[in-house]
Amino acid sequence: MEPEEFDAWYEAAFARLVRQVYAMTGDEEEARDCVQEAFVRAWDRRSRIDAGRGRDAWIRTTAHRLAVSRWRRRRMDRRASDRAVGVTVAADGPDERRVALVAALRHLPEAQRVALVLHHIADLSVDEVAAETGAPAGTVKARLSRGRAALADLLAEGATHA
Amino acid sequence: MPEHPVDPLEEAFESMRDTSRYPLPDLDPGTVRGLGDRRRRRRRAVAGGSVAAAAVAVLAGAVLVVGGGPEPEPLPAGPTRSTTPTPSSTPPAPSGTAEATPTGPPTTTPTVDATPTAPSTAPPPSPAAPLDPATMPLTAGYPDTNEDGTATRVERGPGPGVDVCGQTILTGRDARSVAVGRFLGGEDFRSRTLVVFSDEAEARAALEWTAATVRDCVGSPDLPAGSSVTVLGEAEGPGTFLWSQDYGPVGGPAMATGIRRLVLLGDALLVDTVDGEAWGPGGSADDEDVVATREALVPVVEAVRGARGSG
Repeated sequence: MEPEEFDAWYEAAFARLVRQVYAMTGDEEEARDCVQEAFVRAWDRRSRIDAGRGRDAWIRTTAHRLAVSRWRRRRMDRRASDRAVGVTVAADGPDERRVALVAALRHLPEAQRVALVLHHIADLSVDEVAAETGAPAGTVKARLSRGRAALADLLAEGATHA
Repeated sequence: MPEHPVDPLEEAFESMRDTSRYPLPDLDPGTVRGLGDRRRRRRRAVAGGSVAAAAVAVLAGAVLVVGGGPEPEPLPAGPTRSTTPTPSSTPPAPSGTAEATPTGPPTTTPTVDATPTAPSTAPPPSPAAPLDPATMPLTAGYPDTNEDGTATRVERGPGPGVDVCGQTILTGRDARSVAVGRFLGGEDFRSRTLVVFSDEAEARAALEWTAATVRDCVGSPDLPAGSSVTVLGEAEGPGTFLWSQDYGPVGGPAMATGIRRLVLLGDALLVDTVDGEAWGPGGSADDEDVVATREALVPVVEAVRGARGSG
């Protein structure tokens, strides 16, 4: 991958990948941090990620793993050096719908949450979600169906309590 | 009133997809690439092989060959086995290390001579002398400390083994003697296990059995989802066996790679593994990390050869 190609990819994909990882983890600042770090690693290991749309999958998976790993570490020992970039960010402001959605997603089992994010936010097909998560397509469909139902209930409940 | 009722769930998803007002990343692309390049240089340095050294290793690709050809030229860098007759005639070894004495009794603390020394000029020990694997510099080229701050060192006892389709093999548990050197980094795990068998036939049988087991694993349903095994076989010479295993999302690019190699050294089998996100692809014997790890292993191979007094 040439520098120009990497730069274009980074600038085009950064925001959408942050949103996707944010939806999976529930922490937007951490998502930005982890996606940033994943792009640093991606350039370091660019020879292995030349696979078109697979690039986004690589960043998404790496960033998600980083976020989970950091969360585990923080539980045991808060270490500032764990943060790759450590810049406090101001995203594009709170949006009631996004806040409610992320809060609701956090109540779902991880497998359902990841399937919903990949299908409805990352815009992957069911087969692509199956490929990225290693689950059969039928299982993905079931997770999406159950996840959507649960999410709709949670959002309705939130709206009622608001 | 809208023609179709608004689905609040779809509206929420759409709000997540809309990134039109999302702020720019904190780092510009050039800075990201710069950090990636620095990471790469650091990784290469930690791997124990500079680009130049890796190039040498490509040229000396048969350096791990253990038989059937001319003896390889010894490389100038890296620890070699000291043939100093008595430990007292040499300066004290640094903390955590000790001199490997070929004729003396095994040390109680499994340690290695991590200081590069001059090539041996003394006669090699008798080939019949038992090899104490714990005296070999199995951590040569590894960082001094693990991520948790503990020292990397050579220890007696079974090694971590290698997972082949869910089966852990090559721990050396039932061998005559075994020692292991390990490095545990944040995203970089390495080990070298030296397994000494009763005789060369037994060691060779272990090599051949492992090769067959790994070949059977390729494409097996026992492989974890998203994982694939590439067999490079004897790409590093007769008496060696090399393979790699990738991990990552199913159908997507690999996120982590494990490179494994076996080197038959008489009645001993050296098992070299590197694993984790720090390692690049291992689909060819010429891949950068395969070359770097091969180069990093040379001092260990040379030390064992020196101790055995033969190739």
